[in-house]
This record gives sequence, C-alpha cells and structure tokens, in this order.
Amino acid sequence: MTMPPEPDPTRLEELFATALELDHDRRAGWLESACAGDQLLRQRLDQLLAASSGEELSAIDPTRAARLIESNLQPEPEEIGSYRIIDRLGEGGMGTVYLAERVEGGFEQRVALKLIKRGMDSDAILARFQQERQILARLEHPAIARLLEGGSTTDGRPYFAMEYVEGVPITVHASERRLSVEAILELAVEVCDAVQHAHRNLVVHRDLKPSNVLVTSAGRVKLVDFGIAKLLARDEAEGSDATVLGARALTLDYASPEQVKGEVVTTASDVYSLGVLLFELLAGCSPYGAEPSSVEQKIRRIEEGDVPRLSAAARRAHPGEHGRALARRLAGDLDAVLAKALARDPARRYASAEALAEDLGRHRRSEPVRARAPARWYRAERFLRRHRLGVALAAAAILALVAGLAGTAWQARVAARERDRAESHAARAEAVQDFLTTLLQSVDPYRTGGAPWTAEELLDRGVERIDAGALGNPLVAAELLGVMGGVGRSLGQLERSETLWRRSLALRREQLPGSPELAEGLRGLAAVLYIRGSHDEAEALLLEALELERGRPRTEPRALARTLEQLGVLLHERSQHAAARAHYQEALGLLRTVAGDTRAETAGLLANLGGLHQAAGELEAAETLQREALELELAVLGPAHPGLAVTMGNLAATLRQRGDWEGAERLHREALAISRAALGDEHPEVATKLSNLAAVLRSRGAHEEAAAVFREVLALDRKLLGERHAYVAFSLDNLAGSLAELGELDEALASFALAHEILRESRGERSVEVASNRVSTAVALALAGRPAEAEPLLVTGLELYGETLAPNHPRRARAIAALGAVLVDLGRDGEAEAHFRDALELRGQARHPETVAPMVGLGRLLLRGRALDEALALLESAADIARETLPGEHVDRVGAELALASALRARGDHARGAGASQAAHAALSRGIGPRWQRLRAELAATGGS
Amino acid sequence: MRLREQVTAVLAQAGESIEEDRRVLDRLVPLVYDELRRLAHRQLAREGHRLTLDTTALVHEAWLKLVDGHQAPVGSRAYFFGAAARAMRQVLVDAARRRRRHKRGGGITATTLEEESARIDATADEVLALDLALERLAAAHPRPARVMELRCFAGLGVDETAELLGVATRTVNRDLAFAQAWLRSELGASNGATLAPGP
Repeated sequence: MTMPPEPDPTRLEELFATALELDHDRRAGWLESACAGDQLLRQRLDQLLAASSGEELSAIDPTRAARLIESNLQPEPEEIGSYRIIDRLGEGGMGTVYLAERVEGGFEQRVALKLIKRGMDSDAILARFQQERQILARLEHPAIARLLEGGSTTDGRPYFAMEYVEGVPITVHASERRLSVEAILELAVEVCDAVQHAHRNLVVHRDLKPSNVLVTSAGRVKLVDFGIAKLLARDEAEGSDATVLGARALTLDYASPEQVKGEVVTTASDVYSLGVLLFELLAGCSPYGAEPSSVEQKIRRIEEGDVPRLSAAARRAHPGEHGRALARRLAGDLDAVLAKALARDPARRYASAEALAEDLGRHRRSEPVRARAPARWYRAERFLRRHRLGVALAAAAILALVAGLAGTAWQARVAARERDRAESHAARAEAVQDFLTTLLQSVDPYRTGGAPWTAEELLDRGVERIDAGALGNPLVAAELLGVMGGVGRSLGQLERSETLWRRSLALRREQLPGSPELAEGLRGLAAVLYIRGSHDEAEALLLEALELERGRPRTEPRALARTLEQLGVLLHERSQHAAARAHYQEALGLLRTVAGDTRAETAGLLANLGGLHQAAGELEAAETLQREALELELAVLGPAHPGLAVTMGNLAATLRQRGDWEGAERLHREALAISRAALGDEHPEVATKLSNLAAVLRSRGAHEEAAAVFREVLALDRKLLGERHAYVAFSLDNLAGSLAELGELDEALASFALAHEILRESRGERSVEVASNRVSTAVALALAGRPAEAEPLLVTGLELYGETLAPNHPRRARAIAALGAVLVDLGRDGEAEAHFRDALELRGQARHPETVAPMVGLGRLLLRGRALDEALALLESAADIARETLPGEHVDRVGAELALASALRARGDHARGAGASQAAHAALSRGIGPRWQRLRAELAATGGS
Repeated sequence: MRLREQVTAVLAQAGESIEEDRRVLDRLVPLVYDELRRLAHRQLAREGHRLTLDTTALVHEAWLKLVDGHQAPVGSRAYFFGAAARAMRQVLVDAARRRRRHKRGGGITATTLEEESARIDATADEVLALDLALERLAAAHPRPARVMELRCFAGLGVDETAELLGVATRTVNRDLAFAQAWLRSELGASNGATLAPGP
C-alpha cells in the first residue's frame, strides 16, 4: 500500500486552520478559490476537514495504559521465595504467572508460580491460604495440578507455587486435534473424575474454564488453580468496586447463575461450569451464543437465560451436512445430559461431577442416561398442563409404575441370595424405563410438533412397539405388557387391558414360573376381569396367586396384602361378607409388618372394610372407617387424586343411607368433580360417581334430574362395559325407578325386564341384585296402580333378601314398607299395618327420611281405624322428621303434612289442620308423577280445601 | 544525585529550540525514561487495584525529581517536558512492543491466560498504531506532531504547551486541531475510536 503524495505541509496547515474558522456555507466557495485548481490539496483538505470533528484524541485510555505498563514496566522479579524465575508465562486478572524452578536436595523442581497482583488484599489471601492449605494439600490426583506452596514476596505480594503443567486449554486441544464427540466425552469423563476428587475433599474449584482445564501433549487432562479462586475471593463488603466486578466478569462465561448472583457457591456450581465447558467442546460454541456481549448482558443471560439445546446450537454453529450430522449425534441423550448439567436451579443439576461422568459413561455404553428421568417428569408435568387431566394421568400412571419397578428392583437387590435374579430384574426395570421414556417423548407435542396425542394413541403406539419386537427380551416384554395393561385399565379401556394382561401373563407363566412376577401378572389380569364382570375367572386367578405367594418363603407382605385385598373385594361383591372381612383384616395385619409408608394401601383396606359395614347396614361403623380412610388418602394422595373420589363416593353412599341426603349429595358432587377432572368424562369411575349422585337426587325427590343422570350413566356403562354388564343392569334399574316416579311406566317396565334378564345371567337367579330388581319393579307397578302384580314380586324380593342380606338391612326395611303400601292398595289393612310396623321397627329410633312414608301409611290406617291419638302422635312425629330431613317439595314431606292435617281435622283442630294443608298446597299443584297424582286425588276425596 | 546533576547539565547545554537541538533530546530521553519507568511503577503500586496511569503527574514528578530548578537554565522546562513526553511515549511503545513480541514468540498457552491478556494486547496494538501515525505526522508536520505528543504522553494543556514551545495558544490550538484531524483520517474511524477522549 503506497502513501498518497502529500501537498505542501505548511500550506495545508494554514488552509486547514482558516477553513476551520469559516462557516460551513462559506467554506466550499472559499476552498474552491483558495486551492485554485490544486486537486491534491483540495482533496486532502476535504479529508482533514471531514475528520476535524469528533471526540478529541488525547491519550491512551489511562486504565488500559496502566495495565499495559504494569505488564511490562516493572522489572521481572528474579526470585520469588525460594524459586528462581525462568520465564513469564502470562498474566491474568489476578496476577502474573511465571515459570520458576527450585533446587532442593539436588532435585530440580519446575513450578508455575502465580504472583498475585498488587491491590488484592494480601493479608486476607494469606490468611485464607493458611486455613485452606491442609485441604488443598490433600488434593492428590493425577489430573489435578498440585498446589505446592504459598507465601508472600518481600514487598508483601502473595504467591502460590503450583505443579507446572505443559499443556494447552482443553478447547484448543479439541479444535487443534479435531477431536471426535467420543474423544471429547472421554476427556470430559477424566475432567469430571478430577473435579469429583476435589469435591470429595471439600474443595470447589469455582473457576473452571478452558485455561484451567489443560491437556498435556500426552493427551492427559490436568486441572490447574484448584482452590485458588476461593483464596482470592473477596469479602462482599470490600467487593463492591468496579475492578472486582471486572475481575468477576473475566470468568463470567463459565460461571453458574448462583455465582453471578453472588449466592452460595457449591459443588453444583462446578458442575454447571463443567456443563458450559462440555457444551462448548461439543457444540463448538458457547451456550450463551457466539457474539461478544457486555458484562451486563452476560449476567442477565446467565441469570435468566434458558440454555439452548446442545444439538440445536451445534446445528447453528456448523454449516451444512457436517452440522446436521453433528446435531444428530448430539440429539437425545447428550441434549438431556447438558440440559441437566446446565439447569439454572442447582438442585436440578447433577448432584455431583461423578453423576455427570456416570451419565456420560452410560451414554458411551449406549445405556439409558439418568438425565432423561427428570426430563421425563418434567415432560409429564407439561403433559399435565397441556392435556386433559385424564391423559396426563395415564402418563403419570406409567411413571408411577416405572417408579414402582425401580423400587422393587432395589428391594430385590438387597436379597443377596437372589442377586442374579435381582440384577436381571434391575436391568429389566431399566429397559422398561427406557422404553417408556422413548414412548412418552414420542407423544410429547413439543417433540412431535403436531397435535397432542391422546392416551389411547399412547397405548396404541406402545403396543405397536412391543409387537414390533423391539424389546427382544421376553421378560421385558412381559413387564411392559403389564404396564400397558395397567394403563389401559386406568384409562377405562378394559378390553384392551384384558388382552394385554393375558399376553403378559402367558409370558410370565412361560418365563417365570412360581415367581412374584407371575403372581403380579395373575393379580393384574384378575383386576381387569373383576371390573369386566368375569368374577369366576378373576377368583381362580387370585386363588392361584395366593397359593403361589403363600408357598414362597420370602413373599413380600405388600404383594400378599394386595392379593388378599383383591380377593376380599371379590368376596364382598359376592356378598360373602365374613370371608371378605377376614381377607381385609389379614391384609391390614400384613401391612403393619412393612417398614415403609403403607398409608395408601391401608386407606384402601379401611375403605373396603367400611364398605362391608355399609353393605351390612352397620352405617355408623362404615362412616367411621370411611372417614378414616378418606383422611389417610387425603394426606397421601392430595386433594385431586381420583382414588380419593372413590372413598368419598362410598362415604357419601353411607351418608345417604344414614339419611343425610344433603351431605351425601355434596360429597357425591365433589367426588364426581375430582373423577371428571382426573379421568375425563368417559370413564367407569365417572359413571359410578354419576350414578351415586343420581341416587341421592332420586332420594331427594328430584326425579327428572335423576332420570337424566341415570340415562347418562347407562350410556356410559354400555359404551365402556358392554351391553350385558351387571352395571348396565343396575343403571337400567335405577333409570326405571326414576321413570316410574315420573309416570313413564312403559319404559320403566321394559328397562326393569331387561335388567332382570342381565342380572339373572351375570349375578344369578337368587342374587341380591335380582332381589332389588324385583322390589323396584314392584314399586313401579304399585305406583301405576297395579298392586296385584306388585305383591308377588315383593314377596319374591323379600325372600331373596332374606337369603342375601342381614335381617335389619335398610333395603329390607324399604321393601317391607313398599309391601305395606301395596297391601293398603289391596285393601288388606291389617296385613299392611303389620308390615308398616315391621319396617319401622327395623329402622329403630333413627329419624330417617325413609321412615316418613311407612309412618304416614301407618298413620292413615290408624286414622281410618279411628285410633286418633296414636295416629296424631305418629303423624306429628312423621311431619317432624320430614321437615327435618326432606326438602320442602318432597312428596313424602307433603304427604306427611296432608296426613297430619287430616288427623288434626279429625280431632276437630280445624285451624291447625288448615294451616298444615296450606303449606303443602303450593308443592302439591306442581308435583309430577303418580305419587303426586295420588296425593291430589286423596285430597279431593277427603274434601280438604 | 548523579542522575539529577546529569539531567541538569544536559539541559544547560540546550539551545533555543528543541527541533534544533536533537542531540540534547537524544541524551535527555534515556535519562528521563528510566526515571519515568520507576515512577510509573511506583504510581501503579500506590494506586493498587484502581489501576490508572496518570502521565501528567508522572512527568511533573519526574521534573521535580530529575531537575534542579535553580540550576537549570530558563526554558529548560520545555526541553525537559518535551523529553519526558517522548520518554513516556517510548515507555508505552516499548511495553507494547514487548507485549507483541511475547505474544508472537511465546506460543505460551500454559496456565491462566485470560481475557485480561486480550485486552492488554488490544491496548498494545493501539499504542503502536498511534506511535506509527505520530511518526508519519512528524515527518511532514513536526510542530503539530510535537503538540500532540506533549498532549498524549505528558498530558500537557494548551497554555503549558504554548509556553513550552514559545508559541501563541492560538497556534497550539490550530496545531492540535490539525494533528487530530490528521490522525483521525490516518488511523481511520475504527482505530481512532480506540483512543480515549481527552480530559
């Protein structure tokens, strides 16, 4: 480059000075004439004038000049302590590093000597060194440069002598040698090992960065400056000036968020720095991006920034196919590992450098990495937020099952004699976990980029993958089929669940005869079969499981308790209450021998026991047990868990039977809300909840609403359980009952008939369910004015109840009262009176709303028989109970008021009589259905106004 | 004080103008150079971690230390400050050169080279660029270059400079404006920006 020729210097200076003093607008004209055609002069003047404005140049920036001078000005020391300085290696924010040597005992020792620069608090540094030197001296590791000595120079500057390392920063090494991902990971594991060694000795590096992580020419890692950062750390009080901020800024690129924020620095901070370093090595760029930014920007990015995915960063950093290939290599495991190492919250990071190294090792051995486990939970959380809760719960169910597998694997590990089995179990659990992880990731909408998957699709995908034989190991397949079967059951996909469990069980029978895993498979299939109504097969399977488990010397009490509970439920369902109770109690006893937390299982058993009491009509005991179970579950499961809703629903049923309809309705609605939120609208549990709610509605006289809900339940049951399931029959019965109350007799009778058919098939000719169907049908016929047809049905029903229910069971009382009413209609007053009295006797002293109707029936009979005093007393009492327990517009309450009015009039108390009937009139005119019609007809006949 | 006598003696030999007596300057600069280095060292040591280089203070301190004001002839202040500015410039340039030599020759990557090093390197480059530009400026425009040198490396103000050089302040201002425009156009916008604004 040649310099342009310069015009006459003096003339240039003069013209420049003059031009500068001229106004802008006059300058151009003046220049034109002054230069008089000298193009070179004119050009140069224009150039200088253009450069005449701007910031005034004076000197080199005094701070930087100072650093420059300092780095050169002072004479290099010839000796520091007992070391002779050979060369200067470099300088840093904290001082200068020299190569020095010491001759001691004829042995020449070369060291890197770090001379701390002036201005650092020398006394404090040396004091800290005295404190730390014992610890630092313990750091003996081939990959850690040893700290040999610390001291101070004659002019009071601290220095540290460290093992001299001839090496280059790891980043330089990696790029110079073009290291492969595998080679980088190998080095990284070495680095982690060294850091872990330090951490075990309670030394945190605090300043891990490429210039402190060196690689020797032999390719070995060597970490320098361990513990130095802490020695040099200033106390916060004196650390407020710009230089300290500056010093901190020097290493910002590798600092953890907590370091930037000035919070407590722990081993997790080193893990973070290792993460940044590894990120840079693998991706070829910093996680914070390549462009330089201000200290403030950096701090903000470290504090707030989500670190990008490793593979995405690598893709951006490398153009073309190389970038794509690298991104593919890094995607997945290493993305997850780096994300975990670089988690903003220290608690979410790897707990140690060792844990990081282990995961890198797993990745290198193609084993599933741990980093993906929390990511999986994290994704599950996102699932929960983004999907209907039901789907999320399917995912959560899978995760819970996986957690369970891990738990058993660990417990199994403890039994030394079964070590081999345990290890294969553990390996299996891991394979299962890996499979599910991949599966969940495949349905993560963030990863699929499309619409979120439904839980059904999740299952489909899982089964597909199992069928594709990706698993190889039949044991793993058996385990997974079970997991998927369990999920299917949770989702209410019972047929699919059964198929999966059958496949799983077949594999287990083949591969693991006599094992706890086989028992688990038997239980799993039995649970689905139970819900599907195949009780006989379920029982056979459970008995097989029980035999197997009782025959094994070290059966886990929890597993046995589960088998016993399932059997208990089955016996309970078959009304073998005593046997069911014995099973539950044995299970409870077993759980008491387990050391761990068994509250969840205990709660389940208590609730089931409560259910037994409820079925036996022992409502107080039932309520106590169910409330206890509910409290346990609330504590263990939290307020939104669907399991809670089951117990809540059962408690509500007890309350309903005890006559607390308001309380029952409230609990039922709450349980329904929980189930719906957790399981979605189409789930057997939700159907049960709806049914329970409708039953309370019916009790309270809201027949229209009840009928609508029962129809919903029926549709759900048919869809979920099939046309001939017993639950379909229950729903038909319930719906028919409400329809009869509304006067829709034809549909009611058809429904009862269909239900009867199904129940005879599924529950047996003489089952309690058939009995209930008979009784309900009879009530409908009686309402329709066909008491002659009703009577034999009631007699049959009561006969069956006598075989299946406790003598004082509320259902019996209800049926006897119904028979009393039919007998009244048939004109057999004497028999009717006896039945009413029987029914009331069964109820005891309870002020139950269902006692109102038989009391009124009896009262009317007494009134007709002119037993006025007794009738009045009875009817006063009935009206009292009705007012206390029934809504104002309930037909029985209105009936009680009217009967009381008649009695009062019969006694000549017309004023009160008129008042009593007055109150009932408004409701009377609005009521729909045969009971109301009958009341209105009676009122017209007796001439009451 | 051998050094002090030496400096004073050299100053006594000085002629009417600095440009005319390069010999004096050439003898003076090395004497001042060592002292400035020492003074700079001391100043930085005193400053501690608030590291700034106050060239003005340094040069004045050197004058007091190196020259016996009573013995020195009238006008020798100008000689001395001219020499001091040149020496200061030399100190910085030498530091920068050493720095660069180190960087090129070393291949030193062992232990603890940090960002700090990169900053010092950048400063070294700036110093060398400014030195080179000033040299070229001095070739065609000696007085503006001198004024600029005094300003940049001895931190002298306009009045002081005018007095030292025996010219009107208006001339100093004109020279400064010219030198600055010249340097800006020479160093280019990017390099120019690395120089700090004046006091």
